[in-house]
Amino acid sequence: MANSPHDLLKGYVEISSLPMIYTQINEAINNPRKSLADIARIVSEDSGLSARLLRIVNSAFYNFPTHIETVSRAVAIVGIQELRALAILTSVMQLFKGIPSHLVNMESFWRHSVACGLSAKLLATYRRETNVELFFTAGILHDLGRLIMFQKEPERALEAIMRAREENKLLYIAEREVFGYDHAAVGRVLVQSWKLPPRVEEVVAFHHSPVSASRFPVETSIVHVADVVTHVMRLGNSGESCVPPLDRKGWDSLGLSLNVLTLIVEQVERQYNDSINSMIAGENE
Amino acid sequence: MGRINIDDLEPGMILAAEVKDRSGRVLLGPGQEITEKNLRVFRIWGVLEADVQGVEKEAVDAKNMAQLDPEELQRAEKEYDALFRHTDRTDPVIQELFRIATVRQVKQMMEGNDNGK
Repeated sequence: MANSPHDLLKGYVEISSLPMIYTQINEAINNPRKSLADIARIVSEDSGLSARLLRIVNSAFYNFPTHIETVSRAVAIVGIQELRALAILTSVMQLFKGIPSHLVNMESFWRHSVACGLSAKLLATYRRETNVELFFTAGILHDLGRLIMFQKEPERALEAIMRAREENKLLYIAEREVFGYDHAAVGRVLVQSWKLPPRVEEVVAFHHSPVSASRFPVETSIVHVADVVTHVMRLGNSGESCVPPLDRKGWDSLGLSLNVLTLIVEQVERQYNDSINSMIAGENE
Repeated sequence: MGRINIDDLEPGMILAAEVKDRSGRVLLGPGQEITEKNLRVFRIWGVLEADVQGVEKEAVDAKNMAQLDPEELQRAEKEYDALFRHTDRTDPVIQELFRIATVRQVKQMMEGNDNGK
């Protein structure tokens, strides 16, 4: 029995690092000597990512007049920041397969994750944040710790689910009671071991309590609100059946008007409908 | 008081305060009557809301809700009461989200029925 998130991940080599494809793309993006063509070549070598990328650029989301046939065109259209986010999505979808369906419906899980990423990106856009793709990435990863709990300790994970249901509790509260920590703490250790940016790590760690985020409270609050919005819209599900409580201080720190919510919901709805199938298809390839 | 959503603005309404775009530039001043063209300009510049004389957000929201099928609305509210049971229902942000969620649900239901015909 793992008594800490670190214990839970110890010796779990399959997920201790992100797949090579992400590392390669990331290195190429950060290397000023590499061109877009070099990056496209790396993407082409990964059939899963190439297929997803081509599906996405040809989806209603981009609504391009002509069919995009080549990976290099596709990379040029989405841009390197979004490519990085898509490489993470593809990687995590490959990593977490074979989780028993009585614990979680994986398609629903990814739907929730992508919807939260889209909401976070839109909220960030309204706040005129730079590098909005980082919010998409953080949204995709925010609940990932839960998958580790399902995989490594299915009995206790089921116990937490049952406890939440029977005692009318939020799942992350039940997780804390059963495990002594919640999925956010597990996700944090995972993101740490993947050497993702500290901003992503803090967002994942504190997405249920954004005021505890000491270095990146705004980023964390954005994903916190995005998570609440995604639950309100019931787009997918990551195990929690209710709308999680909204941290009022987190919302206030964003300085957004109440009227922004109607627009965010409308835009998330449209972007989600236009892109979700191309984003999450191929999960069982 | 309370600024109303851009979707609820109508030509002929009189502004109670200036409308600014997202970088703070004034698009229309207080006391001006909103025209069809203004509304288009507001949308282009990403205006979210406006403060209109004699119009309250609560009243506009209530009027929009009144156009929905009351039985469907009641059903949606009951469903979302359960989903929102861990939230603070006195918080205006939660109240706005609850309103958006229930209205969206009823509209989807009504559209679904229309498509079925």
